[in-house]
Amino acid sequence: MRWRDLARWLLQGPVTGNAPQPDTETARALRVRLDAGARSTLGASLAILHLDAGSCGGCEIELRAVRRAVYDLERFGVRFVATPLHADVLLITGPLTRNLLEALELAYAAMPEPKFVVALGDCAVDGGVFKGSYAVAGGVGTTLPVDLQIAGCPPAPDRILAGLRALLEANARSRLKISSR
Amino acid sequence: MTVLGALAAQVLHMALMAAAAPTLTGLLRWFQARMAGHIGSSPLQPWQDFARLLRKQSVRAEDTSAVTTEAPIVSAAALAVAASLVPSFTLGMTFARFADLLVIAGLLALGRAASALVAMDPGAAQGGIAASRTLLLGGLAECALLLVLFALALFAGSLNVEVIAAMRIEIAGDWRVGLVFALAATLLVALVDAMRREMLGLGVSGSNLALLELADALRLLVWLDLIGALFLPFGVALAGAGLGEWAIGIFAWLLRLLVFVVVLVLSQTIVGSLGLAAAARTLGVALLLGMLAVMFVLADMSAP
Amino acid sequence: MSAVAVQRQSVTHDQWQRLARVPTSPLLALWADAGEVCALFGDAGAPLLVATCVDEDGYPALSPTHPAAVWFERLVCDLWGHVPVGGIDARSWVDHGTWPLSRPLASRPGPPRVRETPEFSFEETLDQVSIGPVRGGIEPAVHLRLGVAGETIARLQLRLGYTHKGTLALVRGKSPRAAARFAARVSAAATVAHSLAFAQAAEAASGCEPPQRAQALREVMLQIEAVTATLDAMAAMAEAMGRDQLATRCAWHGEALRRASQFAFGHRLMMDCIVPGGVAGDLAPGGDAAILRTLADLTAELPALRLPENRLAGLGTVTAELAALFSVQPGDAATRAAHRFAALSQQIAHTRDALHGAPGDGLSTPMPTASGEAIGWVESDAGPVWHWLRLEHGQIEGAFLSDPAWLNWQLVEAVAHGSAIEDLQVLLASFSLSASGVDL
Repeated sequence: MRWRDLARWLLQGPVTGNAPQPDTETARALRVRLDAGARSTLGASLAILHLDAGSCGGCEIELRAVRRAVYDLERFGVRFVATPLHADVLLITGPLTRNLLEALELAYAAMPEPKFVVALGDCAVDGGVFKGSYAVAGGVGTTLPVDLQIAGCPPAPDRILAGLRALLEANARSRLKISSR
Repeated sequence: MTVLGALAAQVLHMALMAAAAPTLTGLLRWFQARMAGHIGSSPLQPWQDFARLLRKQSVRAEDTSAVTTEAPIVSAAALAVAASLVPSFTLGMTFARFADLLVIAGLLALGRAASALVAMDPGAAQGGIAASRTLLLGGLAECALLLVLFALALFAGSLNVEVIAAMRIEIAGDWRVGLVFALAATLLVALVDAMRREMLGLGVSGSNLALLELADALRLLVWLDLIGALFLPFGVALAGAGLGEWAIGIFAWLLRLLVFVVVLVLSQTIVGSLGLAAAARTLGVALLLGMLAVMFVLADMSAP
Repeated sequence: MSAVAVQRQSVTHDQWQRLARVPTSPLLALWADAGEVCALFGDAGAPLLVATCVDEDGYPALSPTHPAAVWFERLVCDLWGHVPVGGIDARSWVDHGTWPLSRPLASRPGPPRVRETPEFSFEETLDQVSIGPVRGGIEPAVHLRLGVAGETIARLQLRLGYTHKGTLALVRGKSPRAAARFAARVSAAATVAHSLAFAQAAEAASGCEPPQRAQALREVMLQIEAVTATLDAMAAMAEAMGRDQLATRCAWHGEALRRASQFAFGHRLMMDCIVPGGVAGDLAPGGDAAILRTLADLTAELPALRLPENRLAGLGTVTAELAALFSVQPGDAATRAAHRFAALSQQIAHTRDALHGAPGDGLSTPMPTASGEAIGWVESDAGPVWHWLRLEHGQIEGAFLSDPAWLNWQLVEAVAHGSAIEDLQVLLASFSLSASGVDL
């Protein structure tokens, strides 16, 4: 890495592209769900704990892209954390292998309320191609209440970003709604 | 009137410090992200993060004691008191006569020890490692700080921040070698402190985590204000000054913070993440510089 | 890249053990099939597939003479129930006792095992640090156990199996076309390499030849994947070292190439784009130009993407002895980073060559309903990908899908000692690691 390159990169400015709009339909559904559960919301800040429940690594590749500069998830106040105690969102990839069930349940139980569960990718939604295997429970929904599903094999970064923005939107909107009452 | 003025200055100072601490962290993060080619989250994001943490339930990791719930309060309180003592934009605040450098060093050490206790409380290896790292680096940093204090005390004949700052304002052009070394030592300590953030809060959540993060943000601010008051007190208003001078003082204070953010992020860009061994070595250099500062000040005093 | 129709050599137990002692033949994989245990030895050029029968006691273990056999023997024991007699490690591997059955690939599966994860063994003087399987960040599910002395790692042991999905059971009884989706999902970082190795094995086993254009497009995809995988690995290393600008530049070029792949082949990772018999679709019009444009941008910035080596020197050194055993390159993390960087310009050149030489037409030939046994071998960014297939009347009767992560995780275990705890992330990033690739 040379000074000249560093200076050039700085002058070029951010490489981040325009973000896709939050998925309004999903945001509305989420909001209804939040209101029905009388869950309090968290505003424009979310901490995600990622949990690999048997993913082939495809969802992780796209998730890393979402975190890195081109999609820059952090500009919306969303960060990845290292322990369930700090997490608001449990984001699960993979078809939920039986070997990981215990770790999943422990992680979810350790998260403080209010908390959300996101199933990322076809495998996490319903087991995907691995449905029916002896080693797979088949989808996060079999074990935890899923708030948001982001389908795709793997879902493209734009889709992941739109889904997570919907979750943020639902968190922000319900708060406004409560305060306007 | 002066009593009221001093009280007003104190209250305004505390409000400014409280407002600046999370914003400074946010600004650092934003600038870092910009340097790395991200758009980055807004500099006000830490306020949103605090609000979120306060809305969260506080869950304790298994096998934790009251330390987990009480020590974060001690840590944040110690740093808050320290922050209220270090002058930002004016001298002559109500708490001025308590602003003894030894008291401030003690409060910093207390805050660090309390945070380390929180990290060790769950009895997990990761927390223990983080605690041992923070105590190692904290010990070195505070030793360097004590040497700098000693040099300054010899120079000014007092350990009170306000007295030293007033003297520095009076003879602003005096950059004797000992003071340069002392400034370099303090700057290194502040840089290392800002670049190494140990994961002390792995076992806490919710408001306890918010308190630990607040303590971290305040500590950085205390370091910066110390550097400002002791070495670069440009624009700092004197006791009994009017509103106009206060405004200049606030402006100068903000400017100093901004300059430090730039220096910090640039050094991070140059060296990458700072390893533990490299951090300890840097603090060793700070210790050496502190020692040199004392020797040069002593030499100055004994010279005719 | 090549595929070989192989004749399995059945050997006696004596010959089997003697083979393992030949120091020049690295063990590439070990699995079971139809009452025999198969071992794949040798280099890419001349693989040697030998098999020995399993009697009621089991089969003679290779692990006493061949350390690379340990994990495979544990896998064979968990999935097929064949016991390695004299094996040096009897702990379970992927079977943590959570499945509704045991020995899922045996002709008669057994009842579920007792719930139990494989335990670790450390000297009592060492403190232990547990990491995972939920590690935070965006990481594969692996449990790392460190034995530490102060801030230094004295030993590292791994517990894998968390992402075991039963892939080998799922491909059984399916046609190669239907099973290709599982091969593509062994490890997404090398999805093209896996799809290709699988397709080549299936084609060689059934004696069919894909059209020329399909072969050329396969090569294009393989090289693009190698470039993106290398960029990903470089970005991960830069991130671990706190070099965020560099990570951003590497990731930016990787993203540009993924977008070009989406445009040219219809999928960002080119997953499922290679099928047995050919390719799933043609290159989109203008796709080649999009790829070449992206590669030109990357080439222009290439000299600036070199990692500073100050924290890499001396980290995770693979000794010459170890390198020979696993048939990898010796050297430390700095060497590995330099290799990656050097490979990048080659991979770019190969992609260009492949794009220019994509002649003719014809994307796919139907797979004949044949029987046979073959091995497909593809060199991926992380190392060699091997697939072995046995077909009976066009259906898969036995399969083993091997990822380079088998080698790389074992190397991590072997070279971690002496590193600082906080360099662990850099160390892991300097190898290309996939949990799913090993767990199957």
